[in-house]
Amino acid sequence: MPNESISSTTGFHGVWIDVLVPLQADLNVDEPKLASHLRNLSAKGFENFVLFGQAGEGTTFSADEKLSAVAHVIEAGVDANNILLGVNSSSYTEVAQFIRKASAKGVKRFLLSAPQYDHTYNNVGLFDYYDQIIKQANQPNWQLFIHQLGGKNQAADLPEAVLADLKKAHPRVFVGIVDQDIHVNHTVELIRAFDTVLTVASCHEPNLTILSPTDVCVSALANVMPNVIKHVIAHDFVNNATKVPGMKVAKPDDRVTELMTLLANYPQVAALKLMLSLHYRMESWERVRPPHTTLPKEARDKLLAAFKTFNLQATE
Amino acid sequence: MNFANTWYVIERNNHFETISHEALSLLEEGSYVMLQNFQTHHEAHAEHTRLVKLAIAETKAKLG
Repeated sequence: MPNESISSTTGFHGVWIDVLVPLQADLNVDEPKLASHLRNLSAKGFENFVLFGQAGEGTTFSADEKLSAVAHVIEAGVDANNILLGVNSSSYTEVAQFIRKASAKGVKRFLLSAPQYDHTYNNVGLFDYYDQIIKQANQPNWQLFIHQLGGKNQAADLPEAVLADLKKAHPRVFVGIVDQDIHVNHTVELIRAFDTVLTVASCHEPNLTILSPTDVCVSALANVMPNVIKHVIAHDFVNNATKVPGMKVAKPDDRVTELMTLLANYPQVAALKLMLSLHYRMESWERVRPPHTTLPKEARDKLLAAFKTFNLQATE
Repeated sequence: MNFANTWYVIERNNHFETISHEALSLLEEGSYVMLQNFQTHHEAHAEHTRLVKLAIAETKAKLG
C-alpha cells in the first residue's frame, strides 16, 4: 500500500471512531458516560478516538467544555496519544491557545477545520491562517490533521494548492487530512494528490472498499458497529459475515450499506445516538446539542422499527 | 487501557451476568455478548441491576 508508510510514520492508521458525545439533561457533556463509552470500545479492541469531531457535535462545544471532557477521559484511562481532538474556530489565536492547553494535557493530534466561510478567502489568506496557528501553537511533536468538510458546515474546503504549500512549509506538523466531504470522489482526488506525503483518512464507510488502498478511516458508524468497520477496512469479508437470526448471512460491507440506507433520510448524529441508546438501553443517549435536534416522534418510531429489523448484533 | 481487575456485564444464555476480566478471558469466544466494562465490581453490579429491572419492566409492559 503506498499510503502505509505515511500512516505508519504518523501512527494514524486503522479505525478512528468519530465518537458520539453523551449529554446530561442540561445538555452539558456527560463526562462519566463519555469515559464509559470509550472504555467499552477499548474493551472491544478499539482505542483510537476522534473527540469532538463531526459526529461528536464538535462545533457546538466551547474550548473549556472540550478541555474538561478530554481531561476527564484521560484521567479515566484513555491514552492521550490515541485521541484526535477536533478544533473549530475562525480565530487563529483561539485555535493556537486551545492546542497549547490540550497539549499540556498530553494530546498530540488535532483535527482542525477551516475558518468560517463568511468571506471569499484566497489561497494566501488560508495559508496564512494555518501558518499562524502552527507558529503560535509552537508545541513539540504535535500533529495537525486538516478536516475537509466540503460544503457541509459553511466552512471552507482547503484547495489542494494550499494543502501542498502547508505540507511544504510544515512537513513535520501537517501530517494528514480527514475528508468528510459527502462526495467520495473528493476523497479519491485527495488520495491521488497526496497519497505519498499525507495520510488521507476517509469517512465514507460504504466506499472504503473502493478507496483501496487506504488503511485508515474516521468512522461514526464505528460507535455502534466497530468490528464491522474494522473488517471492511481490512477487506476481510469472507470470514467475518454476520449471521443475523432469521435473516441471511451478511458480509461486513453489506451491513454497512444496509445501515447507511436506514440512516439516509435522518440527521446522522441523532439517528446514531438513538441506535446507541438502544445498545446501552439508556434513553439519555438520544440527547443532542442545539442547533442539532432530536428526531420527531414519528421519525423516531419509524427508525426504531427499522433498527429492530436491522438487528444489530453485539458482536458487530 | 488496562483491563486487568476490571469487571464486565455480559449477556450469556439470555441472562445478564457480572463477571471479572479474569473469568471472562476463560469463556469461549462467541459464547457471550460483552455489554459494558467497568472499573469496579460495584459499578458493574449497579448496571447489571439496572438492566434486570429494565427487562422486568419491559416484560410487564408486554404482558399488559
